[in-house]
Amino acid sequence: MRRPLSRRAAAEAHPTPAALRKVQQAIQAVKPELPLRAIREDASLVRELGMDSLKFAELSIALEDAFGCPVFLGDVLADIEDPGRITVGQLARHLEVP
Amino acid sequence: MNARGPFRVERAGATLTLTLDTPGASVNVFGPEAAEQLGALLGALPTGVERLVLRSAKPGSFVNGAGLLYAHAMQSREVALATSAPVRAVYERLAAARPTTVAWIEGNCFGCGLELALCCDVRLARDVPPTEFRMTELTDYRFVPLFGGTWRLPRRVGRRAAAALLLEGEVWDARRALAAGLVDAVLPAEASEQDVRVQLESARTRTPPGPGAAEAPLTVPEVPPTRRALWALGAGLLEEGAEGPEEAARGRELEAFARTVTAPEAKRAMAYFFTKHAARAATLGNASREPPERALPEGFAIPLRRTPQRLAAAWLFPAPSLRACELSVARDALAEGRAWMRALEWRGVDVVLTCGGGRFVSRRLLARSRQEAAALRRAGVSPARLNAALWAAGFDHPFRWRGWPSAREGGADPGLVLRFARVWQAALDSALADGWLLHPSQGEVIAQLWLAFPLEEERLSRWLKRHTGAARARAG
Repeated sequence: MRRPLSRRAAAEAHPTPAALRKVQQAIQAVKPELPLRAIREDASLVRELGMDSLKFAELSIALEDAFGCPVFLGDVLADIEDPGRITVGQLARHLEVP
Repeated sequence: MNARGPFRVERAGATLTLTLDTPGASVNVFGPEAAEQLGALLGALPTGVERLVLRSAKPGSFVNGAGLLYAHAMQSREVALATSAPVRAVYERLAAARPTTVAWIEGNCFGCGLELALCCDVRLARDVPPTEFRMTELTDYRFVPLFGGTWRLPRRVGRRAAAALLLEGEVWDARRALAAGLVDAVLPAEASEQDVRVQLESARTRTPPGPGAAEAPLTVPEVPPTRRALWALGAGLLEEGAEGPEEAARGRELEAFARTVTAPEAKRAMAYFFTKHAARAATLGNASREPPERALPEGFAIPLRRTPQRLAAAWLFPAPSLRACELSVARDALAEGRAWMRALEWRGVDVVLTCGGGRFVSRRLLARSRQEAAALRRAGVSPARLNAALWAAGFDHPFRWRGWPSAREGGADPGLVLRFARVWQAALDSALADGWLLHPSQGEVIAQLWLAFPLEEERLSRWLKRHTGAARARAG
């Protein structure tokens, strides 16, 4: 069971370095113009990194390659009240538990 | 003048040109950042500006959407109203702007992009294949538009034409938009930038045809029962929105938006967006929608045919017009297939690129469907009975399959639909196992495009899981 993607969950713990790195690399694959240093653990995917709905669809595929399992971000996003708040670290934390 | 955001701002004499270029995206999105910048610019227009031009830096896209992420995340009426308020305010500010406002439309003009253009005084379009006008809210996402689509649109083109866009999912090219009065002038594909600038400097609005006193009341198009209430709501809004005080029309539209965007049907339909675009990403990566290297001939009708070598064939989906196809290539000809896919996309065709080397996933789906239908017929279940069961479950054109009878007899039969859905899923699973599909999301897209799988149910695999669980619960 994957951890719920919420601010509280992110505040409680950090993702593993391996999961964080996979997410950072996947984001860079779909947004090659972003330097790796900009993809910080606490960076907002939407507000700071400029991810939109099309980029989230592309990110699903990049994350599947990185984690080796199906990733469907559409389901994840449906449970979030404000997608503008989702951070890189929260996403990594959500994905690291299969 | 210096507001930061996705618009590039240029001043030439009395004309201020705002060029939208959503960063890092293949298409333009009029999201909160764009709205904020446009709002700031409209609030502090320099003196002497008499003409404001909105245009796009992306060749295939004027505006494709408003940031579906935010609509997808709206969980309550209050959140829907609050989240959309700043963007709505910018639309109204644009509509009330003092200078003459001009939309220069080249590329996709969908949903909120069309509503943005409707807020301008003048609309000009370039007659190139990607210039298409669509209202996607109801047909693709199952919610009511919120930036004037139910009242500015019928006031401009009349109720019937507005209903064709909003309720029937018509796609208009530039010439059709001109004939309907949606745009004021069309420039040919070969018009130079200088020609465009001259037009943008001088274009004037035409008197809109308006709702037309002689128009008969709208009839709601025939849709499956699962969508009837939503379509009736849309038709009612167009009917009422075509005349009367704007403020009342705006209020009705907003309430309807807040109610429909938070409904589970809309959430599921919006989730399908991610499936559809994941399928594209799995095929093309993050390829932009720039003019493809391979041009299709004028008046093309899918010139691809089965060949014994590598690039195989195209299989048209049973859509009312040429809007979607499966392109099947050998796995070692994927690069060639991708080039064709981009060329077809540029012409507005949805393409699923599969690698069965000339064998089609959709044809396999049809074959399995026919086998199952034959087995059912032997068991005393007619195709008309099956049609009725699918219709009641929200599938709107199984009877468009070639050679399939169109009659419907009877009502809902969830068990029958579930049986068929299992057959389809098994066909898609086998296509994935055989390596014909590049990614499972392609199977979901084929099910949606080819079987008219109801968008409000999101995608076949999830529907199957949900209904299998429900069937077990009923049995247990």
